[in-house]
Amino acid sequence: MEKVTARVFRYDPSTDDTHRYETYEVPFEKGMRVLGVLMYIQENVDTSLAFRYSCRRKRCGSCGVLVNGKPRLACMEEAKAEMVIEPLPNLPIVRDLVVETNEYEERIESIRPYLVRKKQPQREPEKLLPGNFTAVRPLNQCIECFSCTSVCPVNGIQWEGFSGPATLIQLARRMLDPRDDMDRIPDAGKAGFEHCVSCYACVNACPVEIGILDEVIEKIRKKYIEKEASLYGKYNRTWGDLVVKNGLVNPFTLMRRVSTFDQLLSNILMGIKFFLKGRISLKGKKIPNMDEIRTIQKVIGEKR
Amino acid sequence: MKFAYYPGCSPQSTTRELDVVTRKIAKALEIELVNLNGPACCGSVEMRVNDPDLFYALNARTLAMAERQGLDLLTICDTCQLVLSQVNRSLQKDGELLDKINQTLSEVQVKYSGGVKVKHLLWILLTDVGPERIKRKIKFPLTGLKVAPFYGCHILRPKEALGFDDPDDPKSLEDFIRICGGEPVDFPGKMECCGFHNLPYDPMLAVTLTGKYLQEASKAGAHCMVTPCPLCFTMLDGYQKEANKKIGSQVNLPVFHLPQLLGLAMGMGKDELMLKRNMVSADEILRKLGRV
Amino acid sequence: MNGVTGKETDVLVIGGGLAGMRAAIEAHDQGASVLLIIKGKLGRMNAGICSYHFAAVGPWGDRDDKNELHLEDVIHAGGYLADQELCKIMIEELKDRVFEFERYGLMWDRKSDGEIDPYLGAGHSKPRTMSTWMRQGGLDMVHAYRSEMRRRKIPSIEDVMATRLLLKDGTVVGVTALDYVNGILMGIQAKSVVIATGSHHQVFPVTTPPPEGTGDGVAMAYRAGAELMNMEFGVFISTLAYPSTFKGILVPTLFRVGDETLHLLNNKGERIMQRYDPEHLEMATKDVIARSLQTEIKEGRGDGEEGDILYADLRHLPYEAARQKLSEVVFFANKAGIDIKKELIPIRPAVHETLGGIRINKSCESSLPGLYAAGSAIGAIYGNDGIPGRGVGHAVVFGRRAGLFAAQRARKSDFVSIEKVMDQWDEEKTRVFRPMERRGGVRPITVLKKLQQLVGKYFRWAKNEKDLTAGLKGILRIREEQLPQISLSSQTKRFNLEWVKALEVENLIDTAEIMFQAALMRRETRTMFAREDYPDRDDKNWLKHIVVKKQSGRMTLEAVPIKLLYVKPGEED
Repeated sequence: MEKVTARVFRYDPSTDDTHRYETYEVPFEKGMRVLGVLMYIQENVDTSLAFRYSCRRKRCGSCGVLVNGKPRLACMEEAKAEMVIEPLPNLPIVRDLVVETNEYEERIESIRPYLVRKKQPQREPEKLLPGNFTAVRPLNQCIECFSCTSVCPVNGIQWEGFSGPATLIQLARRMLDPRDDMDRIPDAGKAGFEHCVSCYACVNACPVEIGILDEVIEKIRKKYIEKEASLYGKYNRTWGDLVVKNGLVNPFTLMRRVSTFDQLLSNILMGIKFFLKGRISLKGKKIPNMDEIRTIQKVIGEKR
Repeated sequence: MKFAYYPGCSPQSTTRELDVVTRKIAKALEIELVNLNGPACCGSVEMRVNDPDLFYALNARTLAMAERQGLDLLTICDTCQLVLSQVNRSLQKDGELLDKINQTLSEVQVKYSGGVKVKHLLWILLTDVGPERIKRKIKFPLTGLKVAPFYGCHILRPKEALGFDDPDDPKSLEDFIRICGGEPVDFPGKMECCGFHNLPYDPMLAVTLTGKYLQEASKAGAHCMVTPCPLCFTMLDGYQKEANKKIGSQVNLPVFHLPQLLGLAMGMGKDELMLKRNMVSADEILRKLGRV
Repeated sequence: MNGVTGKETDVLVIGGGLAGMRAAIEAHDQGASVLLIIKGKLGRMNAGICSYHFAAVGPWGDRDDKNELHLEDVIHAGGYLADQELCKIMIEELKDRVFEFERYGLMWDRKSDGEIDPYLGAGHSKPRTMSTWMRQGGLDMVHAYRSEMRRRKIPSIEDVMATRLLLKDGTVVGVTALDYVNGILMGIQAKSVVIATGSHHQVFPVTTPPPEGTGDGVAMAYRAGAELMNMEFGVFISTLAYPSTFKGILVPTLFRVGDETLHLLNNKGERIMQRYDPEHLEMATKDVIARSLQTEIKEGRGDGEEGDILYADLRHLPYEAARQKLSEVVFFANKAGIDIKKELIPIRPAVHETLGGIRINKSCESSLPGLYAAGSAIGAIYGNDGIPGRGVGHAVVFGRRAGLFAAQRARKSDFVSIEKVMDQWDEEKTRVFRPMERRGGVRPITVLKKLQQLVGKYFRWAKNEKDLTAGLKGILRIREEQLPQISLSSQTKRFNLEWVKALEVENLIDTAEIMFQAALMRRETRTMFAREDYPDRDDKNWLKHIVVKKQSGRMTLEAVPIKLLYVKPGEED
């Protein structure tokens, strides 16, 4: 590969009515990153191009851009033969590829992203057993680059009350720290974690490979079910109950048990339509050997 | 070709047509689907948090059932595929976990050794069966039909557990559409999430997401949509009207299950494919294809 | 960020790295109103984020360890050019910083029994060096401080570049600062100003720290008449040669992988260190390595267009161990498409840090009342080279002290209105907007590259009078001919990075000139500072600090004797 072609988003809100794309050809260097492409353009072709970067090695989290539609760190992403480079979505554009991430940062600030402990350690340095910190260790790697939040579909439709994965990571980072003794669940609720649809888009996008679903969302869910009497908790527990009762989950039964009376009423017409199409099993199937399930459940119960 | 068949919960209730049509096209393609004796629900997104021990045990039991027959497992639902892949992978990598689960399962005389592969029907069609064999059974290629592929998030991500398609640039469903003779239509939401798992407690979110992708596909010129997941199908087909209402769109996009689209190309008719059950009528598509 | 033209605060902190944030936190805790301005984004753009080690004596490691031993190690490594009093203060305050970081949410590396797990850092006599869990080092430290900034809701403004110190009767009363999101020059009144803007390493063409290090604070302080110190010093190291954005990934020697180290090879495949230090090889001190690499290049045994590419050989190392010990090098080499099991890694010499900066006293105050300094913007008080942990220790200890004393001063002071210094304001406005108004001319990047080329060529590890004089002449010519011609390709006021670069270039020209002048003055070779024409160490004449100051518009240099209060050079030195 001799050259790479970059189609770069250009926009100056102070002078332009709308954005445009400029195409640049850049000589290719072995191992080149998208950041190298941008730097080449800025140094040799168009010195007015604006983009952010600092550390060049996925620590500062400031060089996030869309490369061919996917949020990536420019410093880590390999330069490809043809690239479309755009600013991160859903954020106000400062200029060209520079966006204002204040909205996301304020969401993080609202969940108190710092250690809160009422009981101070008995001695310093404290004795901290590595085993107690396995849950929080992966979360420590988060550099707040907002790739996860940029790719999250729920954040993408700007769903009210949903703060996005980055906020939840920062919350979980304190929630799972054994030294923190604040109840973080009310903040998780306020951050709208229930609106996570478990689609793993964030996991796929994270440049430092944090397993956000496993390490953050599910950990919060677990605490939430244990503590809160919420609609989500009820839904989760009902699912478990149905599996244990019938071995299968009948969607109608699930909906019926979880929905509030108002919800059921407002869905009556829809329910009738579904029923007429044969899509509603009023009772639901049961697997033939439920006794096996019951035995398994009993054994697990005894072990605990 | 033989596979242990794992239909999941939805095809045994809400989306019964998926189970029926899957069996039909399997027969036509000489794939033997071996019924298992009462595998439990995979537990979806909920059980792993609710009761992780039971979650692993029930899924290991399902895998063990397939293993006992010496077969790989065939799934027809994205979430079932993901969950079983994840559990399988964990059990294969973590010997201690496998032992612990087998201890529990020993009480019901079940044991799993980690020897099963979990594959979605889509993957099996593309690799084990292969395009050539499928094409030989296609009597009425869907020429001129523009089909929007809706993958469903759980058949693509996370890639470590699934490993078939590239989650950033998937091609499998589009290849499938081409094999059927149709023309895949690209649209931004093709690999996004329909929000089904939030439906019981957060319905407006699921409906809004679904509406967005339907609108995108429609705008991109699709005549219809195909999906390998019955949960996505329930949203895209069952809640299409609600989605229109919520986001103010006027989409009328018939949605097909994966085997329904193939069955159509193979020459099966409206009744055989149980298309009457669709909330969004597929009659227009049949007319377009001259198959009325 | 809104285009405000005036702000007022008790303590103004310029710079948002480890030093700046710690200063802001302390000043806040002392009850002062604090404003932090940063030329970039808080908690992201700073050199500390990529640092690794922290060293302190405390209840860990060897219980026989003492602050006195740590002090000796530091002073020895710095060629006895340390300010011993300040060094002692720094050493003594490090232990508390260890505890404090954990109160701020950080976790130091632990053994399985829960105790801190220190290791023996190169140049330390005892195992007192530690890193954070997963060896993230600076990243965790920066995050810890940012959490504390967030807890206290300390006001900070991002994307603001301070441009000039405002003085009234020789006292610093505020700054002018360019809000470059909106292109507005702000005036900030402050009772105390803390400069924590980092080093000026960007005068060099190949550096490991990030691009913001353009000596803004040092240049501002110098122009206002403050004393600078140690401007002739820099730390030389090596880095990956390609791709261009990986220039900055440090390739460390002094790291054992099992019994072995990586090997440094020239373009003939010869092991370089065999020629220069067959006893220590790649475990030789950094200055010996720097000398060796430079000599190989000078004698034509390097590759590449400029002949400065040499090689790191990791092929003989057990892969997993190499991946663990040299994780950064291996990771980035892999990313660059190099298979370290089969191929050599091309490397280049680079500058790791410049050690010159503002001269401070015990209270972190500069020679200008009201002006405090912390972190890499200070003329390094530990000498002309350091051992692991010094950069961070420097930042966090003096960051706290600067905040403390700045707040104390603010308690006793009054504001001086910007209106009293309008002549300076007007002057500065003209200077700042000049590149905006000029047409035609030359772009800032062109001037920067010229400067960097010049400095890279004439300010190598081993310097000589001819080179330094030529370099100095070149710098002065750049200032006379090119600087006045700087113009921008776009006159947008909205986030005009080129405009910022134009101002940075002027700061770099100033600091580069001082660097060269100070290097010309020091006629000796000592650890990291080398003069080919004066290859011996000269304690008699040069156990001194070169203090630089602008007096009556001209640069003056004075060699101030070092007080050997606690540690004296030994017989073996």
